[in-house]
Amino acid sequence: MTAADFGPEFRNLIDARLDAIDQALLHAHVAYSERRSIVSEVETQIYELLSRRSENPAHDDVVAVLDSLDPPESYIPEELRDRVAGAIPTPVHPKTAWPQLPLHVVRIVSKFAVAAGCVLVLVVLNVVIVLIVASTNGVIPWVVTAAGIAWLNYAGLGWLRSKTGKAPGTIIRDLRNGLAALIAPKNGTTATEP
Amino acid sequence: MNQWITQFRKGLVELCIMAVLRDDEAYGYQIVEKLGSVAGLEVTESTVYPVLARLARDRCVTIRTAPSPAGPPRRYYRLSETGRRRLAEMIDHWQSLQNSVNQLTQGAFP
Repeated sequence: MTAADFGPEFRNLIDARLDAIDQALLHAHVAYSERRSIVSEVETQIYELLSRRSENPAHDDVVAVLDSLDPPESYIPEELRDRVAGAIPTPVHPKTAWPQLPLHVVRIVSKFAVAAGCVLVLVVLNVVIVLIVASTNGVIPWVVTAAGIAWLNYAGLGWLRSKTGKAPGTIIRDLRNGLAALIAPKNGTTATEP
Repeated sequence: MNQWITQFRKGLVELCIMAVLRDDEAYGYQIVEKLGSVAGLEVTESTVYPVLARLARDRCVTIRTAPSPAGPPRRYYRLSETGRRRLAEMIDHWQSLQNSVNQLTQGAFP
């Protein structure tokens, strides 16, 4: 009796068991040559046991021989078992959507944050300009400086109004997504809006 | 079977497999059967084959392939010189350990 004498049904049963052993060993990172050696030995044993049972083994013989074998994971070498135990993936829990922040809270916070940022930039620029004028000992006329500051504030406030007034949705959405991404757990979904 | 008995035997399997191969070559399942017939040892193939693969990796055994009357070719294992040296060391260590444990279990504390 040789492997070729077996019908595809029997051969598939045997191959499935050998595959299972190989997969268990692969999962434990057993080297290819050792995996091949172990699986070859099991295959040889299966056919030897089948030949001892009958000259023409039937389906029940194959099942009985496969049942007599140790389970696939028991072929993992002892020294690698801990590694496998540590590598067993934890059950995947269904992802829960992170609760979105209330929209009115986000709107207030985002407006405040944007306005505060703009005001801060304006104040810093004003201080820089005043310092430049002071350090040049009045070479640049104060009138010109005051005009520059006035224009800067006018333009800055206009820009601030355009950002918070004309397209508030975009800023709010961006901030909301950003805040949600910052505080959402890594294995959860972030609360994003399209 | 008690867990401690299993643990107790696992460390000795390599020594036992090499001892089986000390005088003659044998193929995988033949080794399983020989060890399985020793009272109190009863190891199965899932214990023996990984150890055989490791011994081959460590060049403690050589492998000869020969046709089998049933199924794929058999792989006959034989102890190499490296294997013989390791077996001698293991036997020395085992006997030393055995003496020490005997002293302890018989109450002959130093």
